[in-house]
Amino acid sequence: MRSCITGRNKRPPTLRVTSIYLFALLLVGCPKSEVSPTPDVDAGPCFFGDPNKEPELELRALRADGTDVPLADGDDLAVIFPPQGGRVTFVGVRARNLDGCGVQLTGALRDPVTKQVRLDGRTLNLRREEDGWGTTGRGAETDLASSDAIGDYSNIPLCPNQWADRDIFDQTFELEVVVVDSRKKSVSKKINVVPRCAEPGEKETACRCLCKKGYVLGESCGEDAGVDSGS
Amino acid sequence: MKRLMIALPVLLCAAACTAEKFDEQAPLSDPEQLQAPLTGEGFQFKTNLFTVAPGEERQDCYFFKVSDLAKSGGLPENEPVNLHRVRMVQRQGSHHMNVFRVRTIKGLDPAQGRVSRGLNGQGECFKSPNWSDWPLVANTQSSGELDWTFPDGVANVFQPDEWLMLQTHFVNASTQKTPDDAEVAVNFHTIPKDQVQHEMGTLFATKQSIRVCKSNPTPTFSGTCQFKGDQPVNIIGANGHFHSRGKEFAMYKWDGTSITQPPDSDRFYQSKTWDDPPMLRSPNLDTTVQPHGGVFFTCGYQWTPPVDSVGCQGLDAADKSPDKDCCYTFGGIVEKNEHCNAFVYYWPKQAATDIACN
Repeated sequence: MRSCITGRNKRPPTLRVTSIYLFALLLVGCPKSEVSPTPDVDAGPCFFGDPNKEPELELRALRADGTDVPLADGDDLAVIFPPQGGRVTFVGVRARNLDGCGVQLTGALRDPVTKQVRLDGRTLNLRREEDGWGTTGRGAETDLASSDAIGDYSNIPLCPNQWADRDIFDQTFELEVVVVDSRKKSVSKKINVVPRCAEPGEKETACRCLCKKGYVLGESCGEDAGVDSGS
Repeated sequence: MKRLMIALPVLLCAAACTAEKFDEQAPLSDPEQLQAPLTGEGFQFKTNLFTVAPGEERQDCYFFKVSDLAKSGGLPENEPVNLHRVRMVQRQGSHHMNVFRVRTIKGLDPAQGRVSRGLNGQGECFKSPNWSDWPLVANTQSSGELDWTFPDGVANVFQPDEWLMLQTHFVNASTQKTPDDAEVAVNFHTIPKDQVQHEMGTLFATKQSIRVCKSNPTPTFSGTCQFKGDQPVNIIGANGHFHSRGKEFAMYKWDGTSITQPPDSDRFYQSKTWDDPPMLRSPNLDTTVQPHGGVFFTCGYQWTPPVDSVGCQGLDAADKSPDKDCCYTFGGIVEKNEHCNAFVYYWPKQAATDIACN
């Protein structure tokens, strides 16, 4: 496992503090990190940014080609074929001023009319970036259907559409993302997005079938079988 | 001779009745002991005996056509089957047994053979996208017998042209053992159409992009699934499935709109025993979810070092992520993979369809 104690400390930690950090590392490990700016020693080795400031959050998402892109209000949100079948969207974050080890990331997409929501929550370690922020990832392989890197993103299950009273494509939905760190510091953001069936050809056809309003489970949408992933 | 002709049916009846009476009193452990339903009251389907060698995980998918099963049980083969009581018996070593309705045909096709066998993660019967829209019918993870009679007037209704898929998974490895030959038997007991007041529905929800890693050793994954209907839903059965790193599987009644975990008072299922999870069912489980609500479920894990035969090298080899961290990822191999699957049974069925949340 790569060490997450890198660089120099602004203040030499006492032996007691060092011991606490080492013990904490044994317990929770550390984020998958690159060499990075020095964290505040009082904040702990997993901390990103300034512990005295409020957490900051930027939203990210995966495109169909696996690239990780920023997500702003009004943006398109890729609806993608995942290994498990159906259609999901992959939402990630950039965050700072919080503890990046063992954060709880929750992503949710809401039908703005009925307020019905689909969500995915997961515990993960943020990666330390060179600018001092923590991220959920830097993208996945081009073939998302065979990539485990998507496990570091919130996998919001959207289709088959047995929950929204509208097509889950080409219409505006509300995206809400909440991050809670191990110290219970919390930050959230809510924006409007437009889900788009993002893969061309047969996958787009199947996406528009699985994600349409009124889809009935078992209705054939011409889907392929995906990849080995167990029962 | 005449006396013998009279006596023989009596003896058969006596034997059958004795067996039925015995069955009701003591759970069975041997599928061979499971008596088929009386003619005209249901049918039985089962596997043959098969061997699971040391170190093997065997997952097989068996196909049965509903009309064939109905005919075998003396039921009209061209009429719907109204399942009201299910009995399932499996030998020791079973990891799980599921029955699904066949829907979209992908890699698993009854036209390609009545059995599709999978070994150690290989084969179409191990590919979950093959049954991603196949509604659940029944499931159990416990060795021995599951016997469940639905509430009065409730039935799971099957059309005669439907196919059912029985999936068995036996493990003979470090975490689970199959000491003898494996076998599974299932009884479907039916009720007449005029006794059916409510149709049962099933909900299957799963989290599949999961990772339980050395550097993130206590992750929790959560998800939701709506019933989507204008009327209240009565949950009468629940079962959660994960593997040996699983510490707590919980299900909650959910309002369909909140994104925070519901309070403990709304929890209707909890499992802390990965290899013998409770199969809660009516009459002990009978809880109501309000219209437009659903189920909120969580899977909590504790990372542990892999068994020696796998090692971190084995986990890393199976991990498609570029960041190797001795992670258990989603899949059917108990020693290498994890699961987070929720099975829920309810009535009345909403919008004439079952529910799947991938």
